[in-house]
Amino acid sequence: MSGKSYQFKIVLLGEGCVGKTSLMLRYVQDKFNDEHLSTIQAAFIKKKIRIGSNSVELAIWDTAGQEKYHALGPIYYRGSNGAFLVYDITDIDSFERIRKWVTELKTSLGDDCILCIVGNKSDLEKNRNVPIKEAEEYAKSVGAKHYSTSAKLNQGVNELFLDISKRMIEKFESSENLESINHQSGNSSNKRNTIQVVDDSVVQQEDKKSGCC
Amino acid sequence: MLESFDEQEDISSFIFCKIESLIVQSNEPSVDENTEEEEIESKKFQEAIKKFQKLFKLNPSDKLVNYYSCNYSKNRVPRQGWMYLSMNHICFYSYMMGTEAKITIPYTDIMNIEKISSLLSTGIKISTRNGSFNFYMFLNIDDTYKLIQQLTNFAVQNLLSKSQEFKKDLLPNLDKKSATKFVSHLKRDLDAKARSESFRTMFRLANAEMLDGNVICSIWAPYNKRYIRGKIYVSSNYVCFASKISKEVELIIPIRDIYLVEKPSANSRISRRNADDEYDLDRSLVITTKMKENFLFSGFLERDLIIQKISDMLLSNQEGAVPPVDPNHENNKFEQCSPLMELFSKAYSDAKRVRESTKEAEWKHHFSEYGRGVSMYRTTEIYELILEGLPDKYRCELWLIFSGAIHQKNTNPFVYKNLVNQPCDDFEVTMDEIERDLHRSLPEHVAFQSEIGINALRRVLKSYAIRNPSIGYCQAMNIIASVLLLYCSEEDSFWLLASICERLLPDYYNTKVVGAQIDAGVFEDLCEHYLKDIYIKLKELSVISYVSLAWFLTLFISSMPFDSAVYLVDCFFYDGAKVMFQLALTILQENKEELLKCNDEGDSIALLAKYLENIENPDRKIPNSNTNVKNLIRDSYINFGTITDEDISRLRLKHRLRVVQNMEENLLNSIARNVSKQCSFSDDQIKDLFYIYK
Repeated sequence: MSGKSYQFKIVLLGEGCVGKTSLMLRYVQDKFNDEHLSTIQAAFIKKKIRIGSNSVELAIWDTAGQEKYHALGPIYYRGSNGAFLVYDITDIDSFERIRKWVTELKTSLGDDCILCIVGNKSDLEKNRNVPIKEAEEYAKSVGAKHYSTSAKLNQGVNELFLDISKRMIEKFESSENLESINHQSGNSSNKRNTIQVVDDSVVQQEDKKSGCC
Repeated sequence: MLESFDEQEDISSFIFCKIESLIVQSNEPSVDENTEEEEIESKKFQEAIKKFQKLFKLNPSDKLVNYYSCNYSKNRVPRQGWMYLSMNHICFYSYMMGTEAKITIPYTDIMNIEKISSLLSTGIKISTRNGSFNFYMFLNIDDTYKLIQQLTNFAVQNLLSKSQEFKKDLLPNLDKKSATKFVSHLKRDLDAKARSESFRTMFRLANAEMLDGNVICSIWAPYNKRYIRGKIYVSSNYVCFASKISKEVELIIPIRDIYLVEKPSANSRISRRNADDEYDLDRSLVITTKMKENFLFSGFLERDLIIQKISDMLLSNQEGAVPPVDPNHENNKFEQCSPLMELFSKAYSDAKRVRESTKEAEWKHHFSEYGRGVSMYRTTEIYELILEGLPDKYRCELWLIFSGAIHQKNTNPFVYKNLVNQPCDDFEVTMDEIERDLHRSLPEHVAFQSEIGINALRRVLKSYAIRNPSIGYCQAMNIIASVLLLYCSEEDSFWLLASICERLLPDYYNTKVVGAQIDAGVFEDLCEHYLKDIYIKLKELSVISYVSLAWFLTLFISSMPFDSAVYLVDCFFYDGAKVMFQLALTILQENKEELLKCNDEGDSIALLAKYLENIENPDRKIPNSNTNVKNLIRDSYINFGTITDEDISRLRLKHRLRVVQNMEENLLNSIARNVSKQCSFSDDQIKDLFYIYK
C-alpha cells in the first residue's frame, strides 16, 4: 500500500468573518493576520503533505461568506472531497448557517464529501455562544465530525487538516474497493476526476524534506 | 455655395444634413391626415383587442401591445395566423382548414429569443423549458423581434425587482391614459421607455429621467472652430448633445444651470465669428448658463419650436424648484471626513510630484480648451488624459462628473447628512455585516488602520444601506467604498457608490449578486467570440463561468494592488462597464500561453491571481512585474475597444433570462425536494403541479 499519491479538493464554507481565510492561511503559511481583505474572489491554495508513506496534495478553496454569495456556492463546492463548515463559537447565527450548508451539500454531493463542522475562535471561549455539546450532537446527527480550532493561537488547525486528509484517503480506498467488487470491468473510474492515484516513488525523496505535520 | 466649405468632410456632412431634412419634411404628414390615420388605426386595433380577449381570455389588465401577421411552423407544417403581444404574454392563433392552433407563452418562461433563418425566410425562435416555438413570415421581423425582446426584458426585470422600490418606473403606467381607447399608445409608451433608457445610459443620468425628444442639429465646437453634426436631446432636467460619430463630442447641460436660451443676435460675439458659415442665424440658438458659458447649436429646421420647448422646461424647472432647505437642520451637527489621502498620505516622492504636476497642467490646459465642470465638451481628446490616470487632485471632481453622480449630489443636498444621522435600529443584521467588514476593506492602507477612516467607511456604508434597503449591504461594496474614500469626501463617495450600485453595475449587489452572475455570462460570450482557444480551455477547466466574478464585483480592486486598480476605475467612470470586459479579456489574452498549458482548475486560477497581484503602476514598482496597468488598459482599448454598450446590453438581456430562469429552477428543485420528503408525490410530480399552478 505504500507510496501512493492522492489529490483532494477541500472547500471552506460558512458565514462571513468566521475565520475561513484565517484557517487556510494559518495552515498553509503558518501566519495569522487579524486584518485581511474580506474574501470576494474564491481563493485557492495547494499544499502537499505526507501521511505515513503516502503523499497527499490538498487543493484548498476559500469562499465568500455573506448570505448574498450563497447562490455561488455550487461553483466552488462541486467535486469536493471534503468540506469545512466553519462557524464562530461566539456567534449563534453563524452556527445556524451551517445547517443550511449541510443540507445543501448532502443533496448536491451525497455522501461522497467528508463533512467537518469547525467551531473557530476557540481563543474567545469566555464569549462562547454556541454550546459545544449542541454543536457536537448536531455534527453527529448529520454524520459529520466536530472540531474546535483557533486560527489565531494555532490550536487544532493542523490536526483538522490532517484528520480530514486521513478520512478522505479512507473514503477513497473503501469506495475503490467497493467499486472493484461491484464492477469488475474497467469502468471503475467513474468517480470524480479530482482523485488521481499515481505511483510517486520518484517524488517521495523531495517531499520528505518539505513535508509538514 | 458648396465652395464656401474648406474641407471635403464638411461638404459631405452638409449635404447629408440637407438631404435628411428634405426627407423629414416630405415624410411629415399634415396634421389632418395624421388624426384620420390614427382613427382608422385605432378602429383596427379595437377589433384586434376584442378578438384577442375572446380568444385567450387572459386577465383584462394584461393589455394588448401590438399584433403581427405571421406563420407558426410545427412539424414543418406552416400555419398562417396572428401573433398577439400583450404586456405579459406572447400569444398566437390560427384557424386553418378545421384545425386550430393556439399558443400562450408568458414572457417570464422564456429562456432564449433568437432570430433563425430557414430556406424561405427568417424567423423568430422562442425557447422555453417546455420546448421551442418557431415563427416565420413576418412583415417586418425586426420590429416584432425588438418588441418581444423589450417586453421580455421588462417582465424579467420586474421579476427581479419585485421588492425593489428603485425600479418602479420600469413598466409604463397601466392606469388611466393608456387604458383608454388608443391601446396602441402602450406600444408608444414602451418605445418611449426604451428610448429614455438608452438616453440615460448614454449620458449617465438618473434612473427617473425621461426623454422628451431629440432633433438633428449641429453644435459649434469652439475648440476646433467647426460645426459637428449630431442630435440634441431634451429631457425634463437636461439638454444634451451627442455627435453622429460616436464619442466625437458629447455635452450635458442641466436645465437648472441654464440662464438663458435665445436666438443669437446678429452682433453677438459668438455669431459674428461664424457669420460666413452656411448655418444661418435663423436656424441657430444659443444657451447661456449661469456660469456664463455659451453653447451654440445650429441647423435646426424648427428653431423656434426648440427654443420654446427648452424655455418651457426652464420655466417648469424653476417653478418646481423650491430653494433647498435642510429639513432637520437642528439635529444635523456633523462634520464629514475629507478625502483620506489628504489626511494620511505621506508626502509625494519627487518623481511622483513631477508626474502629478505634469498631469495637473495637462488637465488645466484641457479645461481651458474644452470647459470644466458638468458641461464640459467630452471629446475623444479626453481619452489620452484619462488613460494616463487622473491626477489625485482632480480625481474626485472628474469621477463625479464622468459617472453622473454629480447630478444626484447636486439635486439632493441634504440627503447624505440626514442619512448619517438616521437611527439604524431596523437594520441590525445589515449593520452587523458592515461592522464585520470594516477592518477588512483596505487593511493595508494606513487610513483604515485609524478610527478616522473606519468611521467614515462605516457612515458611508450604513447610509447607503438605509437609502436602498433592497441592496442593503453586500461584501465588495466595502472594498469599493474604501478606495472612493481615499480620493473623495464622504458625501462624494456616497454618491459615487450609489451610482455604481444603481446604474453602472446594475443588480450586482442585490440578492444573490444576480447582476454579477449575468455579467459573468456576458464575459463568457465575449470570450468565446474574441478568444476562442482560451475560451475552450477555460470551459474545459470549468473556470470560465466564475473567473470574472470577483474582478467585476470589486472593479479589480480586490485582485490587483488598489493603486493600480484605480487606473481602471478612472476609465470605468468615463466609459462604464465595457472597460471591465475589455480589461478582463486582455488579461486572459496576456496569459494565453500559460493558461493553455494549465492542467487543472486551481492552477489556472492561481496563475491569474498571481499575475493580477503583480500588476504595477507608475507610482509603485513591483519586482519581477512585467505588466504596468497603464499599458494593460491601453492594450484593452486597442484590442477590444470596439465592444460597445449596446453589445453589452444585448448580451445582458440574454443572460438575464438564463440566470433568472435558473434561479427559479433551483428554488423549485429545493422546494420539491423538501416537499417530497413529506408527501407521497415524487419530485417531478411536484414540479408539474407547480407549473400547472403557475
